[in-house]
Amino acid sequence: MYRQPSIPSSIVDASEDSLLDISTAPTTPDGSLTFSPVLQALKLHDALEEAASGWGEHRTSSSSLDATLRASGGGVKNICCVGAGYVGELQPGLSIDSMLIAWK
Amino acid sequence: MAFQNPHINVTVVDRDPVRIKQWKTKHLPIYEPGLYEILRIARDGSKACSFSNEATRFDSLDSMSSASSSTSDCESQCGYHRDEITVKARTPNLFFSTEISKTISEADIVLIAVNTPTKLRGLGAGKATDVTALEAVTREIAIHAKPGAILVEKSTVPCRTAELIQDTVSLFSFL
Repeated sequence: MYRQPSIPSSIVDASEDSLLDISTAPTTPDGSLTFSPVLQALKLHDALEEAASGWGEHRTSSSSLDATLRASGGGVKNICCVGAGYVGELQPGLSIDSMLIAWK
Repeated sequence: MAFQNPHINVTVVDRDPVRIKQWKTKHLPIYEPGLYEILRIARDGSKACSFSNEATRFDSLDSMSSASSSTSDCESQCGYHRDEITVKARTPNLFFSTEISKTISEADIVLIAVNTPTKLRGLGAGKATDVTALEAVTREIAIHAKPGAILVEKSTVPCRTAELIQDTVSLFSFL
């Protein structure tokens, strides 16, 4: 059967793309820091500047680690990480049977 | 963190001595590609070394790698600019310990990365998060952490856990 070319493929693709855009909208907002590395860098830079200029009264509300460290006066010398790697293993003293009972 | 910041001492603590012991060996308790290489440098330190930063010549690709420290015979004739790259020696700055209270008391930043498994009994069993370990660690931090220490909550926790930590710290700060 002969099929005549009717609609240019570019238009078809555009319409298909628009349909796809509606159904697969991005879940991360454009303004989110995690959306764009450029945005993230710019917002971090702004946050650092704001923290440096408005420092002295709102220490606990600062979102900038660098500004906090500067205010602490000596920099960070020691870091403690509590928890040496939990990867979902069974808790000691418990068996598979007890876990299955809990799921019922 | 320890690898990228040689001037900061990072101590990982846990109440399980077996796990801490494993972190001090070649057989780590968790697997992650490339982890052992960077951990070894931070945990054990490294010696100073230097190598030349030469551009790789196409006619000698099969004889030398880009990381090779061998010198080129035609260096003076070819006119390559030869940079000497020196890597300073590193002292160990990553430690593993079971002395939780002592380490917390010395820390400027405390990261809470304890296990938060699914509850097995009680209200919400099989669905809710068991924050027992988190509450215990928060209590230890509230008692032993030095004033001005920064707390970083890294465990997978439900909403409003930050408030719980804040309330716990505030409670013990008045005692």
